[in-house]
Amino acid sequence: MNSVLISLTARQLLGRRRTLVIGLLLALPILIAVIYRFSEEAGSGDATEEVALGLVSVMIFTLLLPLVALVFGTASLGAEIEDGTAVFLLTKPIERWRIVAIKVGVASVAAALLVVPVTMATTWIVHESPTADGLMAGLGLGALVASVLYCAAFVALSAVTSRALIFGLIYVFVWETFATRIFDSLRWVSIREYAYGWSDAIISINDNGSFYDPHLGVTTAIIGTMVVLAAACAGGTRALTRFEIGERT
Amino acid sequence: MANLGEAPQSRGVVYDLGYRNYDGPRLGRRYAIRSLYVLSLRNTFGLGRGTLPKVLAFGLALIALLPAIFTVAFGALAGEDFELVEHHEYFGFIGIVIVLFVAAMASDLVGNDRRNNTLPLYFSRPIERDDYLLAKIAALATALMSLTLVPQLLVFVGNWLGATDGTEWLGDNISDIWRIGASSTLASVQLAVIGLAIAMFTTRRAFALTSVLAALWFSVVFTGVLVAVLGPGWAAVAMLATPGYAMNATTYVIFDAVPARADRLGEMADQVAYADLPGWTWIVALVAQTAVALFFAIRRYRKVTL
Amino acid sequence: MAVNDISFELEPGITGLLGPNGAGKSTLLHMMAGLLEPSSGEVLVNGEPSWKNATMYSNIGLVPEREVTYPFLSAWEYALASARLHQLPQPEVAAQAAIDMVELGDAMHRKMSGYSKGMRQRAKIAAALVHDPDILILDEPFNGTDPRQRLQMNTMLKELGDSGRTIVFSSHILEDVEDLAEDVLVVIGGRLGAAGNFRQIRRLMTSRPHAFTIRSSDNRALAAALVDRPHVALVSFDSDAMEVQTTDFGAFTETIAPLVQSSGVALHELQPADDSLENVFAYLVAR
Repeated sequence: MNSVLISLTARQLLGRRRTLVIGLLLALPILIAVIYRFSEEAGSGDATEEVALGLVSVMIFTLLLPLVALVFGTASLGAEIEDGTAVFLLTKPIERWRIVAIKVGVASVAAALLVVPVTMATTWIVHESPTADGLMAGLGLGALVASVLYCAAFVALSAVTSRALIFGLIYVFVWETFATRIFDSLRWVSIREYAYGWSDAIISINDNGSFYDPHLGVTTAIIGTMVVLAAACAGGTRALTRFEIGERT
Repeated sequence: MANLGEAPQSRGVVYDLGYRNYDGPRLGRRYAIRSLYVLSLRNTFGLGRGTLPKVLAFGLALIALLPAIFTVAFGALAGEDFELVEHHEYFGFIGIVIVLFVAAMASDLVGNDRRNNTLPLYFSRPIERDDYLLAKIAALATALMSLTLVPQLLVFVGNWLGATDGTEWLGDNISDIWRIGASSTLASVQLAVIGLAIAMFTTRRAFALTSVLAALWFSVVFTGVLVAVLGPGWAAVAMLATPGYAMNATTYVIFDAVPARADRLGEMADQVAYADLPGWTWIVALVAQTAVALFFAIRRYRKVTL
Repeated sequence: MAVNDISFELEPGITGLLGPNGAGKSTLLHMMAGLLEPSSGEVLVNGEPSWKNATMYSNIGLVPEREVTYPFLSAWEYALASARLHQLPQPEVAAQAAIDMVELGDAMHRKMSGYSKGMRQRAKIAAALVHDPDILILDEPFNGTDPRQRLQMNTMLKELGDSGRTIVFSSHILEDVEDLAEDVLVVIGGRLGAAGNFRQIRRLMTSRPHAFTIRSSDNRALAAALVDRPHVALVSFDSDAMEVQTTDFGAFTETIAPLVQSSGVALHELQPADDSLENVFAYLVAR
């Protein structure tokens, strides 16, 4: 039963156009990293660190990673609901939590498999000594955590509403990018900050200006991670249990 | 209803449902277009629909309004002309909110009719395909005014009320009114047309949303990086082709606020200054982008299958 | 479409759910299948509520009207996935049996994206039948079927109904319902217009004239006697038959025999002319 759910979800996710578009988007940071590496600015120690962190955090953590997770997370359950195939799954005697858990799992693995290597590759290309200060591993871990958390949140969101994508985008671009910059305390409720908290456990740079400054300690990040996962699974299960067919708002 | 001669073993029932037919007057094409416009405008704000569309639309409009509210509030508290955001910067400041609004509404306005197969219903009324498009564009542009025009006017009124000498302030700043009107109208129409034109090419809400977002927002980020890497020479072409740049630069031009040529290329305003193009080119670029999008939208809807 | 104030029970055998488009047929079926929550009242399946009850699906098969097939699967994979999700002990055997029942064997290994609408419909039915449910709910099962498939679907549903299953299907096509189902539920505008055996329903619609076709040794002599009766509204002649319309079904059936006898005419045939479901339906919808 689990294997059927997994393979159905995976085949649904990795469909034609979607994978192509995401692949192209994810090639952008690598492309820019390569251009930078061969331009004359590269070389001076401090600059590379700032550029590496800037590129990874701006292009990947604030733009591409949430987007990839958003697309996979909403596609894994939301697209099935929109297409009607969710009815096929929901008219089977399967516990709803199992459906949610598998949708989250498959989406997370797919997103992480794409995003983590791109994050590490970008760091590796831009930075002189990428393994120093645990930079590459730390950012990779952060990308992994962010993939899982965003996917979990967006799978749950797409069980609740057919507008999961737009609400997810508003959360990412208005809340995490915009509001947390103005009101510092909002960072307590930010998946990106939880991910940075995990990165910080490995990375031993304390101060790097505006691009990379984790605000939460590791403990807070772990608690935040647990809360997001638990809330997403509980909320998604509840919404699927009460799933009603027809035009949703 | 009486059951005459009912057989004893019968287990059937007939109920009276009391139907009536419409035999009033029928109104024409202009009325139909206006109805579609009003319906679409109401739909963008979720009126006549569920709670969620209302939360979405009014929520985004409120967020777009927040900087204006803060400006006015702080201005009132400080008791003088306090400006958190100036008029010409406003669209740049809330850019992502406007883009998200366009993406969400454009994919709904044209997508819902295709997904729910309601297009045949419209086209079997006295409405032409161009009329349909016109009504949708007008509806989205009007809705967008609540994110472009309304906050700007609020800032204006707030500053006026906060000024120590209201009459003198008004005399100095009255020309801002037409600038506000012109820049918000241009931006609203441009974004409405481009957003709808892109959203029309797919029935899937997710694809429509992502495409509009990519065309209106990612293009800005990408062009920004391109300008930083290539320098302003060739990148000026990319800037002219990017809707976000055309919109913001046009606003700077209208407010006569193109910044002095800067050394760094960090902010969009600096990049626009660095490109050093005559003001009218930005306005032409904006109009051209709108026209091209409109052309494709009309072509698309003339042959859309029902 | 909202439905209100509807109350009925379904018994083993085939029940047709009839109504114009948008009358609320799908809404009713979805409530039965536990995919919509009734805002008041309840829907019980085998005595258990259908809402929020995933285990119920072991006894229910649903064939929705909407597309629920994965375009990238073949019918075989689809039926097999259904069998596995039902956790059947021998999923391959069950899937093969279901595919055979809908006669999709030839195409079962092709991707469903290349199927015709009728084939996809059959794949949906196979997936819904794979666990041999007691209750089968079909929403517009005849959509997109050609006449041969229609016949085959008819036979299949009849067999399933005869084997003691409860089958309910919706349709706006009268012939389909008339062929298959003795019992109908007529839904109009979200409310139950009529329920039960459709011949009985027809008999109850007293405000509309009933028509009979009569053949006898002397139609005109019989007609002369008939027009004398107050409940006879219209008599018209065909080549060798005549049609009589009466405003009172009961009175007509009571008086026709003595009348024939007294007028000395030999009666060859007396048959209700409009006792078809179509007339019942047209009458109910037009009211």
